[in-house]
Amino acid sequence: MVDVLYRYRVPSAVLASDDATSLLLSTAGGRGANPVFFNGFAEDAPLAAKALLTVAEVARTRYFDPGARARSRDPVVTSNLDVLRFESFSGCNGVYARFDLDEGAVDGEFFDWGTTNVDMNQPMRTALAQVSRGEPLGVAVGADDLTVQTMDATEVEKKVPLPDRWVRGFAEVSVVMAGMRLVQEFGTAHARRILTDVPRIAAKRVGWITWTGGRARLTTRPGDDDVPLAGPERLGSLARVIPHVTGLRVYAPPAEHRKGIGGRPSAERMTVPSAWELVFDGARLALVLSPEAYRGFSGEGGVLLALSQVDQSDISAHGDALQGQAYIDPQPASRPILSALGAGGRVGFDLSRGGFFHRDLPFDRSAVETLQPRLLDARALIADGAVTAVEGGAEVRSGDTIYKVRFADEGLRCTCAWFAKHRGERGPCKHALAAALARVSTA
Amino acid sequence: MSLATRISQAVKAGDAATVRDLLVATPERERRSQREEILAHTSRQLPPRERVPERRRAAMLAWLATSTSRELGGVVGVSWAGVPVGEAVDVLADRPRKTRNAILNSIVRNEWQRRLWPIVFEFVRRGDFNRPAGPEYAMGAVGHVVSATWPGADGRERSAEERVEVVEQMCTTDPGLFDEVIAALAHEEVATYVSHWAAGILEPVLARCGVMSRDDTIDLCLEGFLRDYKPSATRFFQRVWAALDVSEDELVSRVDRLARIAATRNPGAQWIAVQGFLNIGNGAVDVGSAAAAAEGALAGTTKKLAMVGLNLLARVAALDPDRAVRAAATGLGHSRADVQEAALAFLCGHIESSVDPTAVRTLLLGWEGTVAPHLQSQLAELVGLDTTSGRPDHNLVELQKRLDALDESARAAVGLTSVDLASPRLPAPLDFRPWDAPVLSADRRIPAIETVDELVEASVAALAGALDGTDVERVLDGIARLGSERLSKAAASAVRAQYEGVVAGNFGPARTPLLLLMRSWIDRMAPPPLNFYDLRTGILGRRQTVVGSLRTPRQRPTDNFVSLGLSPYDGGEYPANAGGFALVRMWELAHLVAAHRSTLLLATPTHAGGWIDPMVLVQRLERLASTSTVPGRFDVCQALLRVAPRPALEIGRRLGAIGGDVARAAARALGAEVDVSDDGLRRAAATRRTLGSPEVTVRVPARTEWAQSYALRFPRASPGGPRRRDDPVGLLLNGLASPPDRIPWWSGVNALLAPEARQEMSLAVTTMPRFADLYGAAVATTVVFDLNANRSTDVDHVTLAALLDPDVPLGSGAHSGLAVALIAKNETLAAVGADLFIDATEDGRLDVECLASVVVKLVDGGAGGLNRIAPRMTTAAAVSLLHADAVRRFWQVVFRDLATAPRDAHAGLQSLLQAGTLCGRGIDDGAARDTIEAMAAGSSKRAKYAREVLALADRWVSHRPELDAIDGRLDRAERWQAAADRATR
Repeated sequence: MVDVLYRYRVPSAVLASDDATSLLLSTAGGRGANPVFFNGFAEDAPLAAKALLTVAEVARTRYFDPGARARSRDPVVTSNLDVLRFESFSGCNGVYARFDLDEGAVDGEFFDWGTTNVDMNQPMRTALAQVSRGEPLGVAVGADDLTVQTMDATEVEKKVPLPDRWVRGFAEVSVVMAGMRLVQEFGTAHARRILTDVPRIAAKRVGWITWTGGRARLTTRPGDDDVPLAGPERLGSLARVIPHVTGLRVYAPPAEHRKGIGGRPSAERMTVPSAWELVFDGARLALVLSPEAYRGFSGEGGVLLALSQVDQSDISAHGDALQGQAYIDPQPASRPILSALGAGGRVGFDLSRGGFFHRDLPFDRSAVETLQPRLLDARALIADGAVTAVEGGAEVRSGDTIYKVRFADEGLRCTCAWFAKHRGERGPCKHALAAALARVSTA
Repeated sequence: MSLATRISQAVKAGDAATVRDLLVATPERERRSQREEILAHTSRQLPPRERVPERRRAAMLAWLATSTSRELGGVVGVSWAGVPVGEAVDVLADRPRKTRNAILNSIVRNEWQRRLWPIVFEFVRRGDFNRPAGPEYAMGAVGHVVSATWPGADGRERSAEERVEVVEQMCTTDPGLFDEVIAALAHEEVATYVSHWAAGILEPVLARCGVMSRDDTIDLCLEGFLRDYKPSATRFFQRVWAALDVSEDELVSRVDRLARIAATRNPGAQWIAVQGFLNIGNGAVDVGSAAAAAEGALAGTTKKLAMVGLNLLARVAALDPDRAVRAAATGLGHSRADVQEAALAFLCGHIESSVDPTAVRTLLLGWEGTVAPHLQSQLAELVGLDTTSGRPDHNLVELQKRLDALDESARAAVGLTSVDLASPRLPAPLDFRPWDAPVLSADRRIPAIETVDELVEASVAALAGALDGTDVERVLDGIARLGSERLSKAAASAVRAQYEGVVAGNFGPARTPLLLLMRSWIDRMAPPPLNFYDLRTGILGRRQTVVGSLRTPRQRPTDNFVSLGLSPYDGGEYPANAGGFALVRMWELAHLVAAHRSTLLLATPTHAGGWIDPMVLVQRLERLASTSTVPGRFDVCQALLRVAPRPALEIGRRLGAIGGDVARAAARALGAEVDVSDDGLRRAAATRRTLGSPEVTVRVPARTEWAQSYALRFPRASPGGPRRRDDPVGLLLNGLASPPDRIPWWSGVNALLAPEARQEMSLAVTTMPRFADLYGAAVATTVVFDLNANRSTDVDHVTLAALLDPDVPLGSGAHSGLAVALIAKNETLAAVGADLFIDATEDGRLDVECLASVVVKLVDGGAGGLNRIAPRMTTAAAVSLLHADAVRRFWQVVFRDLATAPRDAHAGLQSLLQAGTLCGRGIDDGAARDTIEAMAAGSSKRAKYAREVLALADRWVSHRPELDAIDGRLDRAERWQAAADRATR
């Protein structure tokens, strides 16, 4: 658990004057104590207001077990000097939201790059909820000295615990997104219909969304371009912004099947995350959903093997070169390092641009930068001498049980219960990881 | 006398005031030094030990006054409610600030007692403690007021009026408390709480306006709507608003806030705003605000709100038609077809009044693809789109070539013996036997598990419930062949770890047969005897018995089954369902494995769907005969149910060479006229001989008041009746005809435990590939009893999904299951049903008449409604013109055969209208037309849709649906012919 202390110079607020309404987003943490990133106007005030409210809602919601009170964790904002990005992560670790406001959608000045927390308090949300068409909306990300003096408000301190798993999940979403590809794209009319229909599908189990006549429906026989979706009601958070949508893009990882048993391929498709990117004029709002409503993002399998194959010094060297870039080309050679940086919370992934961007999550990332528990366990098994190479694989002793890991053509296989249950859907188990790492070090 | 002694005396006397006086006069240092002694003297007076309230209060006061927050939190099992507030404040007031604040913060965070909130409040009120900003303190305020309405010391439940009076009294006498409660409503958590858990307590108080003025109360509600709360959190404010019955004048003075409320995303609040605008006379409402409010209403998902929004737009149109029209366009994206229709009507009526109709038409472009089909042409006309260019038609030359390339038998198999592509007709639903399809084609072959490593991996997965039925059969086969080999330490420990993990955990009873088998394998323990309950339910006894038997120490394997006869089980009942069948099969195998014997299982499927290649069956029988091994009875019966007919002289010859009753039963099952002395085997073989699907019955539970039923009749292969112990197959098949109070067909596993049963369910659907139609009947008989169930644990969709295989014919049983699935609430089951409808339409298996007849029986009997099936059929209609025509024909039959028009007939008519519009065909059934005409009078929604349906005219000149159907048949014929060619090579 990481305890974060947000210390804002003033609370965020919507300030009304005779000629304009201004949104002041108070900042804390990051490259400075209270950085100032931007001052200007949002071209589409209601859209900006509603999108920010959506991001704020995700931050304070537990979609799985909604009866439980969610501890609100302030969203973060990143300035890449030509785009402002507002991100949040749900309390259940299963929903990630990001609102990207391009420089074409704002009229103002970018002062600096970086990532910081933003204060989202109730009075500010109440004021944002009332922003209507026809009113220009000033936007200031960060409070300068003059503003602080003018407001004459007191400093705000919030102490918020951040569970390790939440921190890791937030960071790793970028790696998950990097593995997605565009599966469907819709224009205004279809986008609005789909975004209205899908959250109302009352499916209790994971189903696949397929597209029939421009509408979405649940199917149990997915095609390659169908998207697995559990907890479709999670998309209900997008209701505010639907009237502004000009397009919808749906992304998902390539279709894969679970590993079969004993030479018989499995017909069962893997449940994977999905990303729903709403397109507006000069802006985008993406909601990324975990494979199942009760399942968070932390430790999704693709991260582990990547982390295990990258040298720490390479990660550090690349990390030092990050200077607020809005686009980092994901070349195949640099993918493992970028994935490792993503897992460390140092880069995000922009689906529409198809590339990474520099973003250092503004809280203690030691929980993130520390190896994944499964990877830690794998290394511990090796250190304990629990891995014995055998023909075609390895035997891994864990407690009183010896698990057999096989290096099969279709990937690593293990006789443990975890692999039996998931069959590759969540990546390798700790035994398989240990066997793979041991084999690499032996080679 | 020491302080502790005096306090103890006061506590035992129940004198909290004296306790207070003593402690107030005592400095903190002395309090702390005396604490242990004080607590030792007074611990017996703490609740729940102490029953006298006065003593409890005095004791709690002493503890509060002498302990730190952490020490108080460490006291377990004590409810601190009842601490006298006044005295508590006094004894805390002069404690060190840090100590006191820690205690107060603990109370706020509800670490050990929220009901001490009044103590915190008193310190806040005095200014000695900063009001906490978080929702916890706010919740305490509301909780304090609500808890005052609970039953008093006499235990009597207060009436609603009494509760209101209590709260009103509290708030009137303590305005500071009331202010806290009002301030608390600014927290979303508190608003949610009062909306759901404290309904009827605060709203009447506010609505009476006795404590707060009416103006302030109205403003409070508006403030609540203006916050960015989730819709469920504003119900409290909606109830208060409704009770206030706000006047027009009161609205006029607040019109600016109404406009802002309309911009929120809360449907309840939007409703209030839009209705508010409607209630205000013209002139008082800004046109722009009204238009924006209406647009917001149309952008939602609620029909009622959208319609009110359109009403508002009608007023806006009088002042600013351009703005009204642009706002109305949003209604075309509504999810409800009737809202789209109303919006379209509005647009048609006002578009020409707008400043720039062309610009508005441009705005509407793109919506024609998403509005309901019956509105598309109207919208297209409005925006000036040409809709006459339809989808490209089939290439008839290509189709003819494909037809000509098929031989006669292939064409006959798919019902294409005489086809005129120039004026094609819709082929009749496919009618084929399961074995007419290439069920033994190479691409359906199932590989066997080859190595012990693979077997171990598969066994661990089976114990985890992660496999499908085919893989479970492969595990059984693997254990049978490889189970006698000595397991390596790694292999044994992996399976044992999983086995023990499952047994120690919360396993579902459906897993017990597998657990039994695994224990026999890894520990070489003979299985316990089976009893009546086991066989009836297909699970291994009640949970306690299961756990007990599975955890017993190792025993020597019994010697009784070193050599198995045909009747290893000689107990009493036979299994009456597929689950029981599987249980006994595993039990037979467990005996062998426990005795370190290996065997070949006859019943292991060789091909997907549960089929066995008869040649492979022969080979297995030959191998068993060569080792003088006698197979298990249930293994044989299962094999006879799975063997695919592939007549060949060689098979008959080789079976004859093997000899014995089992081989003769197999020969008989494959069509030979041979005698079988064993009655049970003869009957098992006999079921194969009778071709064609049995007519299927869905029994109707008495509570639905309709007495019609289908009859489940079998070929009369069991003249002795189904309960005879030597007729396991008869019992199995007749289990499907069980009355509602009997065990469901596949297992007795309670549906609530079904998540683990998914694997077992998928095993059960491989039991009778020749009677796969009965799987549909099984779904029908199970689900029809509770069509409104929507549990995530239900697994009926697994059974229905077995019918998705295009080579499984759909008889009346399958259509019954499909009908029930489409009318059930469970979305997963409905999704499988929709997939089946769509696939079976494309591949020609669907019989619309049969499906519709079941729906009619369900609706006429009151078991289901059209409003649930209609949207699903409408979605299916959008797939293609063939599907749209199938849906059209479906509804024709439904309306033709319904005994009376149901209340939700409009839903079916709307679906029919949309399907007919899509495929360009009207009503071509006279009886259906008569029924619909009878509904067409009046102004109801039903009448309106009936008239529109009747007005549908055939406008389609191509034969796209028929050609699509023929195309689908050709695909099947080509696939079957190719498989047959490969088989003969």
